[in-house]
Amino acid sequence: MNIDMSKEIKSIDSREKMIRYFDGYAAERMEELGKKSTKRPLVKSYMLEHVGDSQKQKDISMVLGMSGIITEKIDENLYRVLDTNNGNGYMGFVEVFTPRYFVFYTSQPSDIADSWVKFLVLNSPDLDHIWLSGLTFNVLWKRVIQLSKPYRYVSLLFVHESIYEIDSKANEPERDENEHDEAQSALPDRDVVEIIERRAAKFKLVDKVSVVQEKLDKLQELYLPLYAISQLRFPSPIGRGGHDFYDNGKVTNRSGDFRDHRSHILYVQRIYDELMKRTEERAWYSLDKEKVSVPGEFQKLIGAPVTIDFGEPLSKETFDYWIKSTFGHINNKFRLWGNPIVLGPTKVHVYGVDKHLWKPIFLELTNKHLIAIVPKGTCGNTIHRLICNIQKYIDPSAKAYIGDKEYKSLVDESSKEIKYETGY
Amino acid sequence: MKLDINSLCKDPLFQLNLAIWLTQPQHADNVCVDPIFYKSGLSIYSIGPLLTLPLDIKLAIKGKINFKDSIRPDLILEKKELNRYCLLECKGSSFGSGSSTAEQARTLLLIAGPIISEVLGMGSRRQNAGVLCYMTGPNQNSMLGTTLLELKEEIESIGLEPGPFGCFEISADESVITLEYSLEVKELLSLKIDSPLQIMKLEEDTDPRPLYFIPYDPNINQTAEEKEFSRRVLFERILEFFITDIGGADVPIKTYIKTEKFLNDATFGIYSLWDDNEAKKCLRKLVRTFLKKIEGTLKSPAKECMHYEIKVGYMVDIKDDNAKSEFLKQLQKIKPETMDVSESIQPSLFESDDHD
Repeated sequence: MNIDMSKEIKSIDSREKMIRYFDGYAAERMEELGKKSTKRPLVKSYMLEHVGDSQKQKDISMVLGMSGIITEKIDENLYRVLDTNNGNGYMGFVEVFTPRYFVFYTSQPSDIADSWVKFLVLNSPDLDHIWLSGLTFNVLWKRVIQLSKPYRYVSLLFVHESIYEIDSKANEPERDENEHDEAQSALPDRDVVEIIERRAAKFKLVDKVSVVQEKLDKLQELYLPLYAISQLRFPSPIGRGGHDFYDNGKVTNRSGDFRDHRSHILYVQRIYDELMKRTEERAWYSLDKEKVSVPGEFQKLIGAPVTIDFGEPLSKETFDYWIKSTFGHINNKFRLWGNPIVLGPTKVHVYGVDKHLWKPIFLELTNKHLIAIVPKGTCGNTIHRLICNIQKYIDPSAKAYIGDKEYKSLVDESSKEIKYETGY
Repeated sequence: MKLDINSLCKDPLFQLNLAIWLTQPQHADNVCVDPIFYKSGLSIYSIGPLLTLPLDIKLAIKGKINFKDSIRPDLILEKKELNRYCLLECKGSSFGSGSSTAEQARTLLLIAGPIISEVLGMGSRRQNAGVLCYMTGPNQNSMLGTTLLELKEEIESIGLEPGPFGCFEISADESVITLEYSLEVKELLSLKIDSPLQIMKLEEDTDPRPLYFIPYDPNINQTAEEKEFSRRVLFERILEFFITDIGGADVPIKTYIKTEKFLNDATFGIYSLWDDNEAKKCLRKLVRTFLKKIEGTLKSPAKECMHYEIKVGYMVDIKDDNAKSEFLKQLQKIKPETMDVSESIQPSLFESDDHD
């Protein structure tokens, strides 16, 4: 628990004070970063998505209240966040951008803030992270090129781990995937961790925008995990540093200005909102009832399948392990439930559930592709999360389509519609 | 047992789902089903609409030819720029001109004529053009074509005008499923690709069924294997919607399970269109049997959250988050595949139906 921070937040009773507080706080951290010694954690924000259906949308107080979190109103869209569970105290602020999108600002240490937000999302079927896939980041990176001076430094993190490319594990007795992760990280002596041979790539690239611009496309062609961008820094247009966006909607402020941080979040949130609208508009399947005078109702099926094509077919072992890990365990990386209907050695159908939001999704999974039919009402976030996880854990070079439209071009169009505003 | 894919090509439910996939937008490479209808600008106008003949036509044919008062073609496809509508009917095999299926065919041929606009409520006669197409299994084109020609001549002999017609024949070899159609059909629908067209690539030892939009139809003839598959998909979907309903609800939850709602959810709303009330009643009973089996597999404390009330049906009563979590956990362990819900259920006389 950070008692100082909790006290500081408690005393803030207006938007202006919050901005000033975080602005000053960010400037101090920036100075410390220059000296390579930060005394307190950086400011970080978490972009969250609530349900899109206006009939089912709840007030922020109700959404957080279900997890025992108290929201204290500062103004129409800004709240202090108090967690009385486990003596956490004031955790930060939540701002309601739109009835569908919230952002949580905090200066708690990453490990505390990350797990606190993760708990909120896991605990609520009405709340999800926003999901920025490698495909989305590749488009956002183009915007960074357009917006930044070529000599500015950019940072990209690539994460891909072919967790299903593993042979010996496939024969292990039933154990939830999350348990497996916990068991691994809990090992006291890392020397005893077994050697696992599978593709795992995690590395960070920091260089000038012009250098990355020249090299990245070629590098991606040479080494596929480089398509799996999982963090991208927008260089701050008004000073040193920038804003690090992560694939789960977390944004770390590594600049000396909070207002600039907030406006970058707003920019990405607007792109995401536009992308969400376009995705749902195209992908949602429903019977559109058209009433005509004679002789009654006509049922027009509208929607488009979501297809994710793998660059190379998965091996039979990888495919089997993926299906077994996902649908054989209640807790799994994809947070899906379903009973696979086996149609061949590398083909299954699943009439399943996205357990994040408890919504239906029909899936065809093969070693070459994944096809999803998304009934109307299933949140577009399900699609973005699916693409994100496929790139992260199955195939970093996977291509996605909504109907005959490439997902990447959908992101591109969404981002072109949005006006970019710097700070203030 | 190895799946006979040519036999599957005769399954009207497979044909219907395939036809829907042919209208779905998909990208050019590595498609699930090559969407020839979509590429040619044909879209779904309606699924299973109820169509009736205009009164003057009924009077004109009454006592002269056998026909149906009303009919539900499986699909109506629309070609907007040509103001053309294609009535698509799925049939496992051909039929003779004396069969009851021929009565449907006569009615469909008439509707596909100049009266199509009036029947669809889209304008006056001849404002739009119609065409009747049958989707059939292997080696049926020729026989079906002959029957349709006979029926066309019957209609013309009483001074009325039938619409143009044709067939799509689906067949499989070892590596692909092919769609064949005549030059006339290609021109009538302005299809952009010549027949025969390879619409699905086959993988060794792999069932080619695509994801089913319509998982079940009680009124069609299927083999035992096809029925079992359809039923499995239907029950998986019902369980799916049961889980999403409970998972997405806020506690405390107190709700009656509506079998009709589940059946509509599971069939994209097609359940409500089925005319056969007896079949629907059987289906509701089948779902209740499924729910009973679900109830039977639940263990305490989840068991106490679901109970049956006479005349009302199943109720789910969940008081708090812990109970909800346990109930969902147990629902997620249910495997419809292992539950014997395969028996054929006949409605009994004076049987009461739940208020659902």
